[in-house]
Amino acid sequence: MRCSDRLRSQRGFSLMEVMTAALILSALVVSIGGGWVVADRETSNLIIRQKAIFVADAEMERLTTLYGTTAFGALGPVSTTGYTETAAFPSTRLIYPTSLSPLYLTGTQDYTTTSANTFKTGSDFQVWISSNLLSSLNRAYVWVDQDHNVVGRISWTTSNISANPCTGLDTCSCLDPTGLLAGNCQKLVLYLEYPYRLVSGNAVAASTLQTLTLSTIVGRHT
Amino acid sequence: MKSQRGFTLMEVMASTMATAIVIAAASAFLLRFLAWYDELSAKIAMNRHARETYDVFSLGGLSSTSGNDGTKNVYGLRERFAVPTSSMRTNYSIRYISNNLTLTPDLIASMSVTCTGTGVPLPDCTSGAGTKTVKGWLGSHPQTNTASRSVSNKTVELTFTIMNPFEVQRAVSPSLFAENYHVIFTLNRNEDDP
Repeated sequence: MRCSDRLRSQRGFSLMEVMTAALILSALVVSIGGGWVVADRETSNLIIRQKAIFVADAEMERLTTLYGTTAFGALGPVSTTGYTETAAFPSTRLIYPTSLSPLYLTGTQDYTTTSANTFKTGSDFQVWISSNLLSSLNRAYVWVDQDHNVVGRISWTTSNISANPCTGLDTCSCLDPTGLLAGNCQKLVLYLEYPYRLVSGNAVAASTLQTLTLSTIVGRHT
Repeated sequence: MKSQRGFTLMEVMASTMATAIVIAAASAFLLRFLAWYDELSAKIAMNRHARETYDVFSLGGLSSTSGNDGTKNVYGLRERFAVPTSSMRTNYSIRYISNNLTLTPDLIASMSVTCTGTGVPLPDCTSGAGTKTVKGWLGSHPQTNTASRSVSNKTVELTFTIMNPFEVQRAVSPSLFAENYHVIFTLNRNEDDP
């Protein structure tokens, strides 16, 4: 082998080769790090989602009991419009009134408030009715995670259903909301949209909204 | 002879140094990734324990022995007339009592944890609170409320804290590994609990 050939075979790497290798390595490390950041964010979202599921379930419990044991179903819910964020869901929905009448709950049991400050500083279980000049544009919010300022917007729809056919001796029927006459059972679909943040007394959508829906059958039974 | 002269001391030292830097960097990344993996696993485990805790409180469970009413049913809050009067936590683990039966579903090996400040490392630590025996994932005593915001005196608010008992002890910010959960159940039973 000639001397020049030996020298060429042992010449090592050029600056360009080293820089290219470093660049590839950096891209690899950055992408792996980015993957971890995404995984971390998704895990945090998962915890928020779990809390939102609990909150949706909690609101469903309250509504089921309100419809089942009080006259709330008669004149309680307020019809609101303008829910256009997700085309697949109805744009007209029901929410809580600005206060729950003593007909349904005594004053000390009312869990609604129209004050953003009371909502912010009070119990995690309150419902904040964000009032508008037009009551049809009112919105209802609940805490999903008060520690991290995550708020959810709740609303629901109802539709009459026929409970037939009955089995056995069950009556399979619901009373009317007053509890005095025969009435209809209803299918109730609850919507919880999150995450919102409470900023300066306003609920601001934080990022792409997620919607949880829950369905059940409600009706006055006592 | 020149072509077979080997490496000089300087070349060996330089290459050793370069290799050491690469290994150190790789090790640092590996350790960081392992720590991230630990943190993510810990949070996912917390989520799982939150669901399990929710299930026990809402639906109860089944005991191996019979209770007051002759069944093995441990009635959850949804199947009760009133909330339990006894504490639903012992040594940071669930202790749910119904029908004279007791469920302790999330027991882990006992650990002694020394409180070093308010909320550190355990969520209910107070300054100078001494050493706690930890056998579960419940960071604080579950709080029930039927006195306010109760619909027809039937709904009960329940707040519980899930912590990761392993991560809170080694995390720089233990509060990252404790989450509060808020749920509402309806007490559906119409007669006294067995």
